[in-house]
Amino acid sequence: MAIYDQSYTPWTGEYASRWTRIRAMIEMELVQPFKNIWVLLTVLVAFSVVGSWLLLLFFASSSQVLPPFVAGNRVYREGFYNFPLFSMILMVLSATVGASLIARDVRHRALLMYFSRSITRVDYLIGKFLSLVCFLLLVALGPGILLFFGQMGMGQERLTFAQRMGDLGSITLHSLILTVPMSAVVLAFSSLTKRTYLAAILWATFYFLSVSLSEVLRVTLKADWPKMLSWVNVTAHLGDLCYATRSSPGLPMAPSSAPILDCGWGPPLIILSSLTGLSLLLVWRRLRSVEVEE
Amino acid sequence: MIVQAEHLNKWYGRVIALNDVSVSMPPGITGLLGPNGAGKTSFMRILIGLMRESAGSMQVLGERPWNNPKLAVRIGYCPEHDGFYEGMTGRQFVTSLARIRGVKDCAAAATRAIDWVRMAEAADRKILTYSRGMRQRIKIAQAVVHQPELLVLDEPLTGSDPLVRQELIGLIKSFAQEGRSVIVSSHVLHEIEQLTRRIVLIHRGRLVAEGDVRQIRDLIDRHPHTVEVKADRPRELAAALAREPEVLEIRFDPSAVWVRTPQPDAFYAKLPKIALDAGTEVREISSPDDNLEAVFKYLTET
Amino acid sequence: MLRALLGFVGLTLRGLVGGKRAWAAAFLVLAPPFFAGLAALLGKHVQPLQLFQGFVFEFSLWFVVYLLALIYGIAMSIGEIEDGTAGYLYLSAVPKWLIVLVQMTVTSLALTAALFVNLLLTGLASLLAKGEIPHLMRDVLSCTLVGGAGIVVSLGYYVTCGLVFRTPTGALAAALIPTFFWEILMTSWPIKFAEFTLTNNMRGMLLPMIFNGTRTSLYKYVRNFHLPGYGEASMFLSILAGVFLVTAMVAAMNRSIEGKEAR
Repeated sequence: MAIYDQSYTPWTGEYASRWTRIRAMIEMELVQPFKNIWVLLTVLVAFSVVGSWLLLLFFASSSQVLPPFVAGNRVYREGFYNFPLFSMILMVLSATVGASLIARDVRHRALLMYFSRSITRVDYLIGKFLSLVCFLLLVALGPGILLFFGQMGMGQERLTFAQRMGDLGSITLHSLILTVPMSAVVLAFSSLTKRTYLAAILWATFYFLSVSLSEVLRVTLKADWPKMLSWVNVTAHLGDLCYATRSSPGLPMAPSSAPILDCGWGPPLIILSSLTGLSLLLVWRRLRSVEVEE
Repeated sequence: MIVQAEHLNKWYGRVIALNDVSVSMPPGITGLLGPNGAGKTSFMRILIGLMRESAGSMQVLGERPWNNPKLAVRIGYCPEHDGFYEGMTGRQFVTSLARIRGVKDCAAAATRAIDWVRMAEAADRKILTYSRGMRQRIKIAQAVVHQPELLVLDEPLTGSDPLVRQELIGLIKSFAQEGRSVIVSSHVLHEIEQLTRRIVLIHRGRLVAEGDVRQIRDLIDRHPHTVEVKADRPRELAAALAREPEVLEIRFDPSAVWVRTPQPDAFYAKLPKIALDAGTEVREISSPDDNLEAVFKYLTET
Repeated sequence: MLRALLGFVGLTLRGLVGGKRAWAAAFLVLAPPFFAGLAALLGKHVQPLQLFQGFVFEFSLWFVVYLLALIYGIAMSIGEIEDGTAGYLYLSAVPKWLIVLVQMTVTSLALTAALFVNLLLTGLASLLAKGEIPHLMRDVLSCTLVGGAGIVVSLGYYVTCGLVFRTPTGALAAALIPTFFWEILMTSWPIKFAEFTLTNNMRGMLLPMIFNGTRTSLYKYVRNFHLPGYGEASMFLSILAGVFLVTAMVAAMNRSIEGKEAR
């Protein structure tokens, strides 16, 4: 039979840029967590922690005797970022949101749908990774910036513009240290299974194993090096190093808190970078094996 | 009646899946039809007791299905979506499910069910290695292993190749021939027609029609029947037919005449005399829309 | 009915050892002994008793119990529904509440056995250091019993979460949030509510059983709250176990398997 209709012509348009495709993936993934009431409540708790601090700052600024904890930048790190409650919030959020990112696509066989379009495996990996980083940054950096403005408005320190911007930079860097490695590791666990709950549990296991193992070995071996096995210690220590130490005239000198680890940037940064790199490599290998499995 | 639903309602939040459905299904094979999202699966899940109705009542084999294990073992269910235990072979899967249904000699019952669906050769392979059709047959095997009185099949033919479909249709018919009942949902309308002429049609959660396909067709007044008459002199026949009051519309080509009439029985009664008077020889008479597909289309189109 | 019940026992046992969750559980069971062994071999001046008690306190009777119960509690409830196999289970000769009871009983026993293996191996690994652990078997059995009670309570809670919440994310959030905030965080805080955590009740039971009533350095975190005694703790755990078991059974009776069309 002859084909009579010759009106079809192939599409000669231009594809959108790679970044547009990745951005579309990020936008799509960022909307999902906020549809869940539990995630919303947990994010609210994170902002509530900062809200309480802002209230305290307000009362402290109104009082004649200034408590030392409002002086300097300790309010950011000890009051919020290194506060155990916030660490737990971030861990829970990454487990509930991040664990499903790849596991859900594997379960519903959506990976072939992604890769049959002009989305490469690298684009997919970057999109998923950045969407989780963005979500966790929202929870980490958002309240941090609120606290920064609160401190700016109600804090007693007389700081220069450069010092203020330095604090803002420290908060941003601290947030990145908390969120980027966490996102990579959670994505790695998410890529290992099609069951979201199992990925979440694997991440929780990894987190608590590191914390408990560090504590137990520190006590039984009577040594300090096991402290570096703890995820919380490593991120908290690196975060602490982001902040400048300074004395503020007219304010009581805030007693400097003891360093969490007995080392500088080097070893913790190597540990976190290695974990991040290995996790992303694992995800990459899992994505490459999709072809074989399907 | 095998199934009796009275004012059955089911909603998920603001989405109404079933809206005041009252239907009775007698013994035998009943086809449950409807477009995607019509409410067929919701109806089936309430029927077998997996879901509770939001309002109204459902009786199956004279009992309420919700939280009724004694009724549950009298029903066999083959779900639409695949759901298997990881790492099990077909035989292990059917045997395990036979056991939890209280079947006495599970291994023998499983072998009988597996032989009945013609999966004996592949029964000892892992289900993960099965093709779509094989998985469908194993699901049917687990549904019949405990010799249920009622078999409920949710889209059993979807995704299967034509050969497997014919085999499955044969299996379903043989099950019903043993005096048991089957409720089967499908989109493959001409294959449902091969199974049964008794249908229940659901659309947007409402019961649209139930009963024999032909009777339903006759009741659809707003869609006149189309009759095709093949004759040796269609022009003359068309001229003669055009004068008849039962004929709404007429067209013809060199081989046949198509007539649209709201009163097909009256038309058929008059046709022989008209053809004789017109001096034409009628070779074939057929009604292209006297089938399930036409019924489905007429009743579900907006 | 008995035949059907035995069928459920078999299916549950099969579910416990199959798939990636079994690997995750095996990791949870074997990781503490592995690290204990490493510490015993490579550490200097390591005391086996201190090492063993530390691992039991900080690992086995803390997050290992919860994570094991979480893996299987969620798998048993929402996992079955997600996999599409819940329909087969509920269309059986056994009422739903009895299905849940059988599954929870078998799973609790199996997880308690796994905990016993974990504790025994941890004890044996600790012995790789120079020294001894007096009453090792007594301590292992005591901790197994206490941990078993913890497993029953936490399993009941997680199964209830899985059956009450319609979506996996909701069930997971409801399971994880109280576990992490209440059991992990609150346990060590110097506030009154800490006495009502499952962890502190288990540790309260351990005090007379393996520590001979002496609060070692492991108990230094207990401040501003009353550590429950053996009797109080066992009553508290029993009540919790009963409450969660009943809620799980009631949730099962009322749970509709709505399928993908309901999402």
